Amino acid sequence: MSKVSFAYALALAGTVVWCALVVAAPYCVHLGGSWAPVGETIYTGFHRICHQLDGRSLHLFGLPFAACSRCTAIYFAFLAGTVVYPFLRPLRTPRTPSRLTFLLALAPMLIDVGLALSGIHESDTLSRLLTGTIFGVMLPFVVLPVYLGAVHEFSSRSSSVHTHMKGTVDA
Amino acid sequence: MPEKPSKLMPALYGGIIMGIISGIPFLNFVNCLCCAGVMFGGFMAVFFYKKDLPPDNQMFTNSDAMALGALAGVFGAILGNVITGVLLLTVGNITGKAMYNMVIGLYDSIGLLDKMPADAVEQMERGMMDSGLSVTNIVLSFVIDPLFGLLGGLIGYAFLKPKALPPAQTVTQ
Repeated sequence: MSKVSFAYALALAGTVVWCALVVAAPYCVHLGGSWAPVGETIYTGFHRICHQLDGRSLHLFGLPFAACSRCTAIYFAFLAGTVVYPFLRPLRTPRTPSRLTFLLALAPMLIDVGLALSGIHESDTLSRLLTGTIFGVMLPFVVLPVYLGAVHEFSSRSSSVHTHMKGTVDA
Repeated sequence: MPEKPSKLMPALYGGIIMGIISGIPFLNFVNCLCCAGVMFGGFMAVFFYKKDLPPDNQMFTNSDAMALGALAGVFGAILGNVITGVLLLTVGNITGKAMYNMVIGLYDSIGLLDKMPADAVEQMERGMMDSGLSVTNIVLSFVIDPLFGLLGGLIGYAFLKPKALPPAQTVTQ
C-alpha cells in the first residue's frame, strides 16, 4: 500500500470513528452502568463544537445524538464523500474543485442559517439535514486533495533525502 | 532558492482570531456551526502566510497549509482557554446562563416546559452551567482546535493556492 493510499485509509478510518462517536453517545448513555460516563464524555467533547439543542437533534433511544441534526448531516455526508472520493478522483493527482463550487455548496446552509437568524423563516429538521448534506458531501473534495497532496510532498521529500543519504553511503 | 517565511507569526495571528472567537461569550456561538470560528482561524493563518510570500508564490505547498492550520489550532486552544478562564473568574458563566435562558424560553413558548420533569430541567441547567472550564474541556480543546484548525488550513489552501505556472516554452533560435 502506497503512502498516499494509507493516508486516505487513515482519513476514512478517522471519519468513521468520528461519525460513530456521534451515534455512540446516546447508545452508551442508554446502556447505562459503566458505559454512561463514556457517553457523557462524548457529549462533553461535542459540546465544544455543537449547541446540542435537544429540539434540533436526531434521537436514538429517546436521547439526542452528540451533535445537532445539521452537524450530523455534515459529518455523515463527509463520510459518504470520503468513501466515493477515490472512485471519482485519482488519489495520486489531487485536484480541488473551483471556489465557485465550494461557495455554491456552502450557500444553501448559509441561507438557511441566515433566514433563521433574521426570523424570516424558521429552519426545520429537513432543511438542516438537506443543507448540511450538500455542504458535507462536497467538503472531502476540497479537503482531501490538499491533505493527500501534503502526504505526497512529505513522502517525496523523505524519499529524496533517503536516496541522497543512500548515495552518500554508497559513494 | 529563496527561503520560506516563518510559519510562527501567521499561525499566531490565526490562533489569536481563533482564541478570541472561542473565548468571548456569544461570539463563540459561531463555533456551534461545525466549529466555523476555529476553522476560520486556520483559514486566516494560511491567508497571513500567503501575504508574506512573494507574488509568484510557487513555494507555498499543501504541507505548509496543514502545518499552519494545526499550529494555529494549538495557539487558539491556549488563548481560548485563557480568555475563558479570565472571564469565568471575573463575570461567571454568562454564555451558559444565556443559553439556559434561551432554551427555557423556547420550551416555554411551545408549551413544553410544563410537561418536562423537574429533574430533566435541573440536569439541563447543570449541564449548561458546568460547561465552562474543566480539565476535560481543556484537554479536548487541544484535540479539537488543532484538528478543525487543520481543516480550516486545508480549505484555505484550496482557496488561496498559487495558480500553476504555464508550461515552459522552448526557445528556438
